[in-house]
Amino acid sequence: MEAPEVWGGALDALVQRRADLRAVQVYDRDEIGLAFAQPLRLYSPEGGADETLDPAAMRAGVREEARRFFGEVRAAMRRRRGVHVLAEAHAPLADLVANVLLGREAGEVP
Amino acid sequence: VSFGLLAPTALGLLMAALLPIVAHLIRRRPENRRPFGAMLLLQRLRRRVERRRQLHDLLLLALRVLALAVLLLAFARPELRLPERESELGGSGRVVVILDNSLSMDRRESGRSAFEQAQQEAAALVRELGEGVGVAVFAAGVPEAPGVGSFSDDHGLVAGAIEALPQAEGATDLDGALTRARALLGGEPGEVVVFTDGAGPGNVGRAENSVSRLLDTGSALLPRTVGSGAPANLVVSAAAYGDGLEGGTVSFKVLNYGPAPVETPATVRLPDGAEMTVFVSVPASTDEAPGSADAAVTVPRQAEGGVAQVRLSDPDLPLDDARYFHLPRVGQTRVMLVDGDPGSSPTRSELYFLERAVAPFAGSGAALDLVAPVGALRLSSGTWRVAVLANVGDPDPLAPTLVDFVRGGGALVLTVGDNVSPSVWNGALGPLLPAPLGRARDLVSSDAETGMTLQPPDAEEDLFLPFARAGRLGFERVRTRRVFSLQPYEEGGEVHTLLRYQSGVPALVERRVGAGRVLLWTSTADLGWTNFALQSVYAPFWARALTWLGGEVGGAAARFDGVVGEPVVVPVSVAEEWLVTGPGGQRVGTSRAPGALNFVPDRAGAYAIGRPDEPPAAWVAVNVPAAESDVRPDVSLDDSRARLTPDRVARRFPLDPALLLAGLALLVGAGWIARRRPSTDVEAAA
Repeated sequence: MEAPEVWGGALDALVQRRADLRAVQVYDRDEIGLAFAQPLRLYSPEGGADETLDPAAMRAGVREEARRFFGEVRAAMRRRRGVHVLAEAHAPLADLVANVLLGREAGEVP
Repeated sequence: VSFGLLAPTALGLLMAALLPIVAHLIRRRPENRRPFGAMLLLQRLRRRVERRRQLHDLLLLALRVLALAVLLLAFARPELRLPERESELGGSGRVVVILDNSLSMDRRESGRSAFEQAQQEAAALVRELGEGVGVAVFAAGVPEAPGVGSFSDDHGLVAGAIEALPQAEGATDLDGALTRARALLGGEPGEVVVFTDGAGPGNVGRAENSVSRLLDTGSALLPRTVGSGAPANLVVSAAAYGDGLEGGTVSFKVLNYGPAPVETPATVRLPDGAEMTVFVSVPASTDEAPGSADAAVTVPRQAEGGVAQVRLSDPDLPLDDARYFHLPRVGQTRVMLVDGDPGSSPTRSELYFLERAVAPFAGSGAALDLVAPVGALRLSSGTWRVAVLANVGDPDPLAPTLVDFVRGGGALVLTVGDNVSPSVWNGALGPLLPAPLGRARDLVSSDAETGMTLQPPDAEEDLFLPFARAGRLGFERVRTRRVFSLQPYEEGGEVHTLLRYQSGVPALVERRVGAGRVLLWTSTADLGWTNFALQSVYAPFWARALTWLGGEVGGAAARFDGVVGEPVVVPVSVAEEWLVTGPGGQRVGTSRAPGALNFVPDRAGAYAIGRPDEPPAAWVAVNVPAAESDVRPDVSLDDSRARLTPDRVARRFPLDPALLLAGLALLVGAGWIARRRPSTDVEAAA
């Protein structure tokens, strides 16, 4: 998971080569919903410092931030005439593949 | 305007204001740690929220701490005091002006003393008073100076009296001045204006009772502080002569009451005019004590006795720059030995034994001049300090010289023998003899060989002090066969018996005459009538006697110390009229009491006591009061008045209700702001 500024340059290069862009973004509803009961420390498997948080206090904020982030990804794809398919991790795979193949933007930002 | 706290200890609870900060610092971290893929979201959220919360949190913390501090301050019950508006001076119709003219008021700022400033301000104040207002003036220094002791409405006259008040060199007597003011007001209200520098420890404290009584009558006390600059003063607090190299050492201590270290020249001036200067580095004053430095100078081998001084150069308070102290005569005692019976050979000389007994001490004690009786005509107290007249048959031609010598401060030792005729001696030396001579008489029967022994001397006598530890009993081995008896005399006063034989017959008698003294040894100086010269105590006794006489007579024997403005009591054993001469040569007024002469010095310096045209019989070293040199401000008259009558000094406004309300309002405000805090709280897990 990286911000559009990080990967936007690489997409631009693909656009210049007249490539069709299809982006599939899969999220875990429990993850962005912070489905934890007690305060805890979270760490990234990719490394970096721990984050200490109170799930109850942060839940709304994280959800809002996720919505904002998904929106930014979708906007970045649109700027490059690409297709952004947003899918929840437990959604049917056939729908997702169909949307990708048909080039249909899909998935509501939760 | 002033601010006070009725319960200042409650301010200690202000420490509780630290609790929110401490709570923040010691927060615990949760133990549960889990992997999380969407860390980017948390980091973005943190950055976003932190930007929004940074200002918000600081504001909230400040509000909470401030609320706590304000509430605790309210518990300390603060109050605001606004000075009462003073009514126009002279409203009571009776104004007493008190001017502090004590020594510390001589402190200079920009070349003008605090006393001069006070005079100028007081005179202006009096001239501006309305018509019909009675004004009186008292000085608050020692000795008391004349002011205007009753109410006068001639303001010009009173202002002139203020301008004519002298600067005193004594202590502050605020209590005395306030007492005189109360007496003049007679229990009725009036206004008392006090011009003072407020310096010196305890001055206001001693006057507090008078202040209280004055305020009790409804009178107004209006202090006017003058000379409010930073305190600075150097003073010699002590000086004394003592043993040391050459002729001894003068040691002294310099105190610095100023905030900066000082190096100052200090000059020791001896009575004969000799001066020695040293530089003294004195550290700065601290809150606890003034800076202090010790210094010393070496005295020459020869120096006149009298009152010496140590003088500093200090522009801040010139009046206390000199310290006066006693200096004994320093150096050899020059002694004239008058041999009335030289004999046929040196060993038969009347003074053969005495000369040899004293000669070994000549290097440090006595310089001897052995002369025939005619040589004694040259005797003068300016050259010789002691003369020994031994068995001189006819002292008549010498009598005027001897009398002048003794009255002028010399010491005369008389010894007798076969040449002495009582009638001749009584006629010629009557003004000097402790008692008229009787006949020569044997103390023991003629067939006895040994003679009568002496009683041991009183070790408390100055003359015999060196024998107190050992040697006193050696006098009991002195055996004398023959003496001159003395006609009855009265012990005490001028005449004092120093040694007696076992039978009680006087052996050595002293008489004070003028500024000098006479010692009469009632037997011979040689072996003619006594074996004294062969005894072990002979040499040390005469060495001591000549040193004692040479060092102590000449006025130096009587030394007294005094303080400006305080009575000096000088014991006087004679009924003659003694005069006191001040440091400027001025005659000082005295009063007599039985056996004592009293006077009150009005300035520091050397005071001489004695007859006119004679060397002083006594010296008094007078110094300024030490407390006046401490120019650091003490409890002010304003503070004393405010403590005694707080309601008359200021209007008081309690601030605790307003602070309580403010504290509660701050708490409410903090709560409101906390509720509006960004809802996503990354840190809230703590």
